[in-house]
Amino acid sequence: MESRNLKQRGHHSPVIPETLPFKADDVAGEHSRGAKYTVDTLDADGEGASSKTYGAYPIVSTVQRDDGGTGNNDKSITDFSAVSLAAGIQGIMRSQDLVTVMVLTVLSLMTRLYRIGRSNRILWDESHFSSTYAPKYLNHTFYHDVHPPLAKMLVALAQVVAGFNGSDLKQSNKYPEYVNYTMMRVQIAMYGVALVPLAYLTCLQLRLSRPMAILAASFVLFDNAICVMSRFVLLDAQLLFFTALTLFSAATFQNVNKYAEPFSHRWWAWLSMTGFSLGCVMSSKWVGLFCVILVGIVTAEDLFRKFCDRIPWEDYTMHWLARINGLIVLPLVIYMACFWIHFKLLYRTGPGEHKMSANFQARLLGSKLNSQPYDITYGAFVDMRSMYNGPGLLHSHIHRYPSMSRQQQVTCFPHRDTNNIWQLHKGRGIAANYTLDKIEFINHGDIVQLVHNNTGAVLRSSKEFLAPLTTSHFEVAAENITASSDVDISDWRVEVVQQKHSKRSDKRLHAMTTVFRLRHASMGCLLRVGSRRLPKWGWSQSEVTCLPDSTHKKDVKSKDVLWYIEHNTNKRMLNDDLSKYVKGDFIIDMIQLNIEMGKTNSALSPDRDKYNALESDPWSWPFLIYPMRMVGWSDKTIKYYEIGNPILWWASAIVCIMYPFRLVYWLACQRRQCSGWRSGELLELWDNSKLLWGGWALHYLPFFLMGRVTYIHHYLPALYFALLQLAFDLDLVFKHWRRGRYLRLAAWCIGTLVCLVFLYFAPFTFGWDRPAKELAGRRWLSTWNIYEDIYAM
Amino acid sequence: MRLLPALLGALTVPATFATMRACGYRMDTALLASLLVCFENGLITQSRLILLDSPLVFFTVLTLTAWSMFWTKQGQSFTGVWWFWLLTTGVLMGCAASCKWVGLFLFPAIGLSTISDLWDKIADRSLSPTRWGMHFASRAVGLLAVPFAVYMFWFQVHFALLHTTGEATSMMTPEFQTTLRGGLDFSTDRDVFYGSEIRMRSSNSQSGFLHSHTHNWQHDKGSGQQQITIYGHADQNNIWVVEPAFNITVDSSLGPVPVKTGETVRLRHKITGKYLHSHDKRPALSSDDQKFELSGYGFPGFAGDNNDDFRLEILNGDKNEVGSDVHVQAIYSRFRLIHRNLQCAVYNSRKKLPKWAFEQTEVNCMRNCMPRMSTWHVEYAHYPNATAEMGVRKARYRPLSVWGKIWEYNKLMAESNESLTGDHPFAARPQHWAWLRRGTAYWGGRGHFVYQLGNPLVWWASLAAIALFGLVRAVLFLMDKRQVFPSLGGQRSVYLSSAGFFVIAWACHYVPFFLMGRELFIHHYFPALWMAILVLAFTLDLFTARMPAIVRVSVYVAVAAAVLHVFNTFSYITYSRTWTKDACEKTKWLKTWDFDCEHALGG
Repeated sequence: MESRNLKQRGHHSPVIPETLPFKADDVAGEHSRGAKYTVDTLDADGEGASSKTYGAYPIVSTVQRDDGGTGNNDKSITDFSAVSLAAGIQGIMRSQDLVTVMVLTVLSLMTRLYRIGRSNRILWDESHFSSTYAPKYLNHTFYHDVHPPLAKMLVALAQVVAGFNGSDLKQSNKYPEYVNYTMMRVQIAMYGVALVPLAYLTCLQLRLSRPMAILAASFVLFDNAICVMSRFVLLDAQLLFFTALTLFSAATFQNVNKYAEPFSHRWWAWLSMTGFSLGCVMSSKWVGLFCVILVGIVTAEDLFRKFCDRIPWEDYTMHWLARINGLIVLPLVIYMACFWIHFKLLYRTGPGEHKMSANFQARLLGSKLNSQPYDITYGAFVDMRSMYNGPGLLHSHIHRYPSMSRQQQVTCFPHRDTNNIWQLHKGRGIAANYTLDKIEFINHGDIVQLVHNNTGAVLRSSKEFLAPLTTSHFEVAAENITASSDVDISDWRVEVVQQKHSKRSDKRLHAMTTVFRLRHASMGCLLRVGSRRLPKWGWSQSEVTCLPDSTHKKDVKSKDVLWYIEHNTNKRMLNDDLSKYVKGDFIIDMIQLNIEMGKTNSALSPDRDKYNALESDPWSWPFLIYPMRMVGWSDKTIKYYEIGNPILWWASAIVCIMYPFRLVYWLACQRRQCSGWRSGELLELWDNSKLLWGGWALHYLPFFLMGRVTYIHHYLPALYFALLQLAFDLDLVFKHWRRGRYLRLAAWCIGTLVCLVFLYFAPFTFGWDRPAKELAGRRWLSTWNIYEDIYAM
Repeated sequence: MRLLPALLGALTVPATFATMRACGYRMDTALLASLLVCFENGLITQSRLILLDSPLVFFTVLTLTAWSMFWTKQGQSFTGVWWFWLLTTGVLMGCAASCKWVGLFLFPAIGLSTISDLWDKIADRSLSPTRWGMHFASRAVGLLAVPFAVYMFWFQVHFALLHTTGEATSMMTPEFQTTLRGGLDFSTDRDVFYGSEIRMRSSNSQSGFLHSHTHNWQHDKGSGQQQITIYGHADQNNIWVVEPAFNITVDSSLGPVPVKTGETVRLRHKITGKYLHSHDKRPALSSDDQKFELSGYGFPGFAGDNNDDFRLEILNGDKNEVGSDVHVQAIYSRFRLIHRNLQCAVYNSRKKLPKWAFEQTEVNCMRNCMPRMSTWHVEYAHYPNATAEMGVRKARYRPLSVWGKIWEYNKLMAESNESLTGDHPFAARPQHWAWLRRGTAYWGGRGHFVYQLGNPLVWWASLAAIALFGLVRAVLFLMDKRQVFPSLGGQRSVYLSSAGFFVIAWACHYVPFFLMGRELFIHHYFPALWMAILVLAFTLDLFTARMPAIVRVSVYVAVAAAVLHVFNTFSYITYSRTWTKDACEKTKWLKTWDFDCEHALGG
């Protein structure tokens, strides 16, 4: 065996391609690795103690066993992947791990659930998620929020299970007697509980030794910040869980992809699992997109390596297609499915509906636009909206044009307002009593007058006056009709252009669904609104004009001349349920909602001159400069303080900041061929740590570019990666040092230390109901506002 | 005066030639490149006027010439000539950065090529670690320390030449102003007592004094009480008298009582007698419920109320003045004033009030205010009842050190740079530069005008050359990975290294502009354009390298002739020659070129 290995070492194969990001100066690296395990095995027998090895601690025995078992040594040496297949897949999970996972889960349950129902206050952002948004799913009212719906729907699910009736808790700061908030918190805490065993399993996939994998899990277990944020009805636990699930699936898929047969069942399963968790994480909060980027970069690197490996084109194309399906299409489908359920559940009118289109609002049960008469008659009071996106509703007010007719301005205004209401009258000279006469519907081709309800002025246009900005058009104004009643400047012909949602091709004018033009009866010009805004005298509202010369373009269908009736008030008619007639398009609704979410998100901008003890800047997070009070700080309240385990935060920050420097150093050493590194080993190291460090960097650095307010718990996903990176590095150090002799001891010592610090800060995590002053000694940094706030006034 | 920029502009042509030669190209290619630079209309317009951009382009070009020369000396490390070119590069880089901050883009360009060079050197095992360390250190000195020193040197010269006060003086901090002749040069009584008359300055760079005057806030929005503002000039309306809190008396019979941190005081406006006051009313320019209006309140016979009370908290004192963190000392103590009832701090909002408040700066009272914007200090203090035996101590601003001055000046430059968000009709965004969407009209007279427009042929061809390089590099990269190594007719290494460097330099001088919010013009593209022209020359050489000499020369002549022809076509707007309206209209190759043909004669 040994002689074969020696032969193998001397053999340089030119076909092994160079692989990024390392220039393979040592092309035989992969082969050397194959040899190394065997030397390790000899080490274990005490024979090759002098040989220079890089011990892969837990895998050694597995290799030995598998080699012995299969007896297929020839293949395992010439084809390294076969050894790895054995070592990499079967060796990762063992039966003893099940016990470890169970123990970790029990410990995790203890820390997450200990006195979880102690405070009946609606704590921190529970006031958003637990008491405002999630109950909306129970009573089906539409709301608007910056976050995608999945995590909130999971909260709602927890509330259903807890028997909550979805009543409004907005006004109180305590949960009422009848709300089983403990049950809600317990369910949400389960996502936090799962984080700990997941961390362990992830570390196994990343080839940490078992003691260090347990240590990594205990880092997650004993971090006060992750613990405290998992104990309330918030979104962070779900987000962290899906982030951890993504990391776990991505790491597993990486191993399967490397060592197992591509396109096998197992391969597809883990690819889909990665895609599924990506979909879930981005449907929980938009920071989940950083996970998508992480997996995207790793996938691109993998595909690039496959390109270098000159695998057959059919296979290569298949690899691409598989990734596109699993990592782009599947997450998108999940993201959309969440919104679909969101819309399905929230079918009643609610406070967030004004963010959505009129079309959407008309489909919300009980909304103002949903419940109105469908047919338009003479005498109806209507709000007319332009089909042109932006300007809004036809509007008039008592202010006059500064020049030309000097009559009342007619504009378009995006917000609802009583000045948008117009009454539809019959044409000039026809006297009618709209409250007593027979009801007459308005049809295509009918002549109407539009009377502004608040001022009684009539919409009119004439050849004498040109529009204020678009001077090739005529001015549109509102004027009291009595003065010039003999001139027919106020009659408009209704021209139905499209009946949007009714099946019959009827001529009648309907609310919401009929798209029509208003053509000036005598001049033939069309009522139009464009993108131009009036100056200050017109309150920056949109200019409304009459588009002339429409004789040769009888059938103008550009959106600027098209209108529809958004709201119809008519006391003589019964209100209809418009959702019968108005059809929606899910994709359009979803895109619109996402755009609005983005707008709301960027509107959350901080006042840089204001001191806010809750907000903190990203630079301060890794060093835990500004922990956050989660409740009022009076002596009697049960106080929760969002503070991490300082030694974990600081150590992981140092490790993550040093990582790129270390990487450069290793690469430099490798270039000079002056270290014990062989390219295969370094590549292995890179493969196992890139997800961790990349995850940390991608979940942390982009916050520096964000304009919105930032809080310390925005760091928690990055912290999860950082904690695992810390364990990874400890593993690396102790594997090397005296060939792993102290690894187990180190894991025990560090674990105990971390646990003790966790317990030291535990009063902040499990609640403290005595004066905060008593914990003054735990203020390790002068910026921690444990009992006093230096900037507060 | 126009001669110097023109001369610098002219010198870029031979510098181009030298750069091409140093990059290892043949005489004919070098000549062609110089020709392309020489007949670039935009560069010509630039150098014929007194602007900062001509020196900038000149130093940028010269830096890269020196850097290319340095590269030719790669085999002679640490010899005299090697050091000469390294240090010359550094000095020229410093000069470029001292002209305009755009010059700083040289640092990433040269830095990246240095890093890649050092990275290659690591692999060279014949190079001892010490030797490698020397390479590293020499680059650090030559390309970082030297330019920094040069930058500092020019600032020294700047301060030495401009040592008297000018119109920009008031933009600087008082500490800066004291270093100028005719600037702030005064001393004041140091200690502040109850009864002292003081003038309070907001401790930010564009600061002013707490001010009041006999005009009132508006009745409809505000309280209608007397206005409180910040005003930049020292006058009698800035004088306030420190008094003890409402219903508190201080016994000054045994001598003046100093004002201490944590004490509650009132400030009486000396001329109008009103007290600094705050109440639950929104300030003039804000509807935030965390901000409150400050007013002057009180009338004869009215003792005031506790809304006049402010707690004085010293944030920090001067380390060299004992007690300045306990007792209020003019200039040395920096403090906040916190309203007793509302718990808000007197805050400089830095917003300009409307005309009815004389466009002075708004000051209001803000809850949870960052200390940075609510810090004040006393700049003038005088105790009227001072007696001779008191032995008045004086305070004065400590003049800034040179470093402090340079730092502050650069900070201010950065701030004004950011605030350049005008609406100039000829401003152009970077995405329009590279394809020459439009030029800049400089000057127009009857029948002739100056309109800065590049030589379109050169611009478009150079852009195409860069795109081609990107494509070639990507294809080569992928082919290499699959073990195919095309040699590009033997030109592979020289083309990739020279064009690679200049494309990266081009990107460094172009891409960052996309991130800038400030107003930009097409002349910001010129340093990048020069690099693109070189890449164009490299590309032409690549294609003609394997051709017979006669074909190659005729290609070059054809290119040169075409460029000259286009140059001649556009020379009318470059040199403001008189031409006809017809010719002018014909020359508008793109609809977006908006030079004014109406004013061309004839037609």
